[in-house]
Order: sequence, then structure tokens, then C-alpha cells
Amino acid sequence: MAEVANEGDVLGLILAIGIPVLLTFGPIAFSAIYGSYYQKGKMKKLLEREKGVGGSFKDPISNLSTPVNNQKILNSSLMWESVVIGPSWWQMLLGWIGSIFGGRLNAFTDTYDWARREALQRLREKVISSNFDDVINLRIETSMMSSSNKSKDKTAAMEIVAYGTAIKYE
Amino acid sequence: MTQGQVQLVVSNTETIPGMTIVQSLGLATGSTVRAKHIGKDILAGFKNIIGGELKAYTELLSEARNEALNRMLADAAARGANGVVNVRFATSSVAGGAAELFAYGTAVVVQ
Repeated sequence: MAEVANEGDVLGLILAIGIPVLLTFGPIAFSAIYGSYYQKGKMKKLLEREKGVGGSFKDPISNLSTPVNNQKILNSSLMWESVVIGPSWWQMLLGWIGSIFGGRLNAFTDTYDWARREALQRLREKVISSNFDDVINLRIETSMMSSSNKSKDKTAAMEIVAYGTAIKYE
Repeated sequence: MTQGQVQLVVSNTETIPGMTIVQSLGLATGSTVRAKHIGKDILAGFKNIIGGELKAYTELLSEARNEALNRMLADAAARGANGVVNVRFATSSVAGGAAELFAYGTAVVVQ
């Protein structure tokens, strides 16, 4: 090329390459950067809330079928809380790549850990705000919502339910 | 939990803490099938880009689970029970983004 390309041509070239690249990788980059920032923020908030319950470390939740101490029980009620969690596109991509080689998938660990703890924390808060003392016989159940391979629906959601019997001592 | 005029004691333990079971009246069940709302589904799709909780679905399933639970209580009340013990939840996804929520327990008479 004998001539030096003028400014308009360079800009055109940048746009011609840049826009398709941005449209292709933009959402996934946004998912990777903002998604992890957002999820870390949620985790930080949860950690603070977990500290708030009971002041010192006294967890009202247990999965024993009878209460430990022989206090008289005034009343009891079934209580439950749930969280529906969906991994980000970036995590789905990492998961897909990971499933080629197998082995550990660190991308999902934090998200699902957060969801399970969030469900438990909501149960704690609900139990305390409805004036109960303890929860016994806690069960955690998970179920997949939607996203069969055939459907066009690409949202992958997992529901986590925590339920137990809340009791009030006399 | 209340159902109509009858006060029902609900528990997921085998006995109701602080009370004794005098009679068992068989299995009480309640179920409901809910489909996702298309508008909420689109919003949830956007939320899926960054991941995290899908609040629209949490609310939807909470509502559905309450309904299943209320139907179970109605079933128990119709048998003349005043309590339900050993309550369990089960969820299964039916075709195309619909979910079935199922609650079951043993209807009992307690004192």
C-alpha cells in the first residue's frame, strides 16, 4: 500500500471489527465482570446478617428431631423459606468448558453456597421475627426449575427450600 | 396455621412437640401446578446474565407452595384432624417451565 490510510478509513476499520466483537463478547464480558462483583457484594451482605443473629454464636437451627434441652414447649409451627438461584452466563460457560475435562468446578461453588446459606438465614430471620425460639428437624431440599435441553428457554434456575418446625419454649 | 375455623398444628417432626397424638387419620396431600409468567421470564432471563437470585421465581414458588400447603391443610381438616405431622415438600418440573409443588403429611388428632 503506497498511501497512508486517512483517519476516516481507520475509524471505519475499527468500527467494522469493533462492533461485531463487542456484540459477540460484550454480554459475556459484562456477565463475567459485573456478575462476580454483584455476587461478591451479596455474599458480603449475607456474612454481616449471619453475624447479626443472636449476637454471640447461637444458631437457632438444628436438624435434630427433638429439642436438646428438656424445656416445656408452648407451641410449634411449620416454617419454610426458599431461594431461587441462577448461575450467570459466564459461570455457565465455565461450567460447559469444565465439563469437557471433568473434575472440580469452582465457578459454581460460591453461588450455590450463597444460595443455601441465604435460605437458612431467611429462615432464621423469619423464625426470630415471628417470636419463636428454635427450629428443629431442618430439611434442605433442592430442585431444578425449567431448562430442559430441548426447550428454547435458556434460564437455568435451582430452587432451594429450607423448612423445619419452629418451637417456642414456655 | 389456620384453616377455616379449625386451628391446625403443623410440624415436620414425627410428633408435635409438647403434645401427644391420639389418633392417626391417614395421609393428607395437597398439590398445585404453576407455570412461569412470560414477562417475568424475560426479566429473569436478563437477570441470568449476571447470575444470583431470581426474585420473580422465588415469589412465584412461595405462592405456589403456600397454596399446596393450604390444600393439604384443607384435606386434613376435612378428615376431622387438628394437626398434620411429618410434612414433606416435593417439587417436580412438568413440561415447558411449569412446576408441580406437592406437600404431604399425616393427618392426626392431637391433645
